[in-house]
Amino acid sequence: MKIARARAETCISDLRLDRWALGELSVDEARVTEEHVESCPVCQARHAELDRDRRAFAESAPAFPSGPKTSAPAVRRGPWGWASAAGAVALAAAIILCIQGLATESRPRPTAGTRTKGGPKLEVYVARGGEVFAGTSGLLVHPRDALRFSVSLDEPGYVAVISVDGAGVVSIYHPRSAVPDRLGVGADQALSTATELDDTLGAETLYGVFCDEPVAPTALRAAAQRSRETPAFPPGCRFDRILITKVLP
Amino acid sequence: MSVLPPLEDLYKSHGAAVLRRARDLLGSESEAQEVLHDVFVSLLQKPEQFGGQSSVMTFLYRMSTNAALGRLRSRRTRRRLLASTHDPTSGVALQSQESRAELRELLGSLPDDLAQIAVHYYLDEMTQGEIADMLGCSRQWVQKRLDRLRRSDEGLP
Repeated sequence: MKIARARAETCISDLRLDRWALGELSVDEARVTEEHVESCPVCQARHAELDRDRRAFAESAPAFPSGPKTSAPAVRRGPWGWASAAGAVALAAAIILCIQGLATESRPRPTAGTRTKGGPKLEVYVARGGEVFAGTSGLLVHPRDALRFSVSLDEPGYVAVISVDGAGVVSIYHPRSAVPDRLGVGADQALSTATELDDTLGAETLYGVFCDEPVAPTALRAAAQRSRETPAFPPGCRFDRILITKVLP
Repeated sequence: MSVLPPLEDLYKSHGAAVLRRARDLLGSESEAQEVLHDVFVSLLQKPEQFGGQSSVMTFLYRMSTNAALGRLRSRRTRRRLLASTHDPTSGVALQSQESRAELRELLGSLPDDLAQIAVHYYLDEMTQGEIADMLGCSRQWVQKRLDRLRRSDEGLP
């Protein structure tokens, strides 16, 4: 096992890059930092990476906490408001239990350590009014339904979920971070994010995108925006899709 | 006593760094979000924790490191993180997923002082001087701890 730094000690640390970006450095410190970053490709790349991460946070950060988590099942809205509320966590946990317990009927299920015929699979689970059920293509959903996803992989890979809704708006449902998590081979692996559906009605396509390399979710969204019928995801990415239709209750 | 900026503003400006580091340390988005939540709830309840001896970002680095390390130590499944991500080749740069997983495994078994040094040196890629400033100790103390760290785990440069 060998762990190595990506940057020499003469380079700029993440702490200094963060402080520089937020104006915490003195004038002299900032000047020295800027001069180094301009001349060092490694530090330039890291600075750009941290900047992308800050922008991703600005777009989709968890709601600002108002206090310690309580046991009351209060579900708050917000970009991910309910992802940090105790009630939403309980609901998401219920969905996970459902994922473990329910059998899907429409497609063959892969087992850990085996290659799946037909490639990786995306599954969707819906929570509504205290009940949780598995979804298949053609599923009818309502605004404010909560969606959670699981994936089955036949090869290790980086996973994202992209949505194209009835208005042609492309959204990243998973991950919330700038870089997707890498998952191993296995069936019914629950993804960490949960999504509350908005009021846009009509058909919506959910794409599970499985890549060999950590492709930024924003790049996957861009691919879906360029060609919504069949997105041309980057080489090394495969996808599975589920069609859902959002209707009023 | 130094006063922090309004916490919601601080969250917007500095929260990304707290979340990012927690994610890198824990390898889990959900746990990282919990660390982010815990750090800022702690500040809501006791803003006087920030004494003004360092920059706000430096202070948040310390808080988030301590919170994440605490979780790593109690995490039962840290070995699971290495499954299917272990790369037996040498010289893998730290910013790769595999090296982060290796570092997480190491951190869970280190005493506090060495774990903090490892985080700041290998994850944050700070200089020894920066680490000394962060921890309020001498550079020689940091160097000795790094030497111990390297002896305790073969292969660390």
